[in-house]
Amino acid sequence: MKKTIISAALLIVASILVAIGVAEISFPESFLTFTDQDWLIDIWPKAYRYNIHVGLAAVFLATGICVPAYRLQKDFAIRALETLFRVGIGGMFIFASIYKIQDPHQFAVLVAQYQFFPALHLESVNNFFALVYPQFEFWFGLAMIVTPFVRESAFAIFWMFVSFIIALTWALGNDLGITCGCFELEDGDAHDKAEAWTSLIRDLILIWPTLWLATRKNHSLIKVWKRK
Amino acid sequence: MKAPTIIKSTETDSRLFGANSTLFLYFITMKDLLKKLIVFSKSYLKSLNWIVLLGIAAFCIALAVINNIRVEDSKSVEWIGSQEILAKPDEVL
Repeated sequence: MKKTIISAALLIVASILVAIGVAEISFPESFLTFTDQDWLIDIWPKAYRYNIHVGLAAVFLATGICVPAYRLQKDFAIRALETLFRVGIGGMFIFASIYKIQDPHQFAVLVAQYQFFPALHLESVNNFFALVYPQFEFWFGLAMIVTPFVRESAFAIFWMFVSFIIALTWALGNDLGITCGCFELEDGDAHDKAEAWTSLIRDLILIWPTLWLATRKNHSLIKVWKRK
Repeated sequence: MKAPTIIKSTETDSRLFGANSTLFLYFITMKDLLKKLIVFSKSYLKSLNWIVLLGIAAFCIALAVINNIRVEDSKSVEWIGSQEILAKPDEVL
């Protein structure tokens, strides 16, 4: 029992660190972002430049904390990690899809800026892709949380991550100067290359837990805790 | 009657690489790993519930069509086609 409590406490700390890491990497002005706190900028005006470093450090630290949690209570740690990954990644996909579903035109404009389909001589697919892809994000994200089909939803999400990585690498390789458009739509000619880098780093990190989930047995979140 | 000698692929590979045994071992290890990966991928793909996967995908396509009709005209897109590629900003940060 004591081991389980310590393991749970470590995993809670790891979850908070991952949340801080994701906020630092993807949402620089959120309430969880540490590097844009006024008091810190007063002391160290360049602190905001190090958001990716802080985010990555938080994620690595969280991974490190998971190791003793796993060693203390293996079974509990696996169940907790499966729950956290399912809710976290599924929730992230649902959140990311909402604005794209609300404004298909803006998302289609953003997809076109990647200039990926013209390179494959598939320009005509652009709009249909922009219509369908957010729906995939929403429903597979939801399926990962509320249905027992974790393997199938994680498999689909894994390939979505692969497509994001390819698209972002393409954009950075061709120096297109566009933003990721992962969580919010901008004017289409947004200009911060750093955001594409941070999105690429985030996707390269999150693809691993997704791959792990794709190899788990199909269970609902309730059954994950009930099974012996 | 003596059975004919069967030369295994590894022996052929060994002859090909000759003295360069490190490269030979690397090649064999990679070949084995690749074979294992292919076997694992095939069994994994068979273990997936394709009815669920394709069902959700079909449902998504149907909803995408409905969503494009539901949203106001300024936010909807043509089913087939692309969008204008905007000018690259002068200064990419």
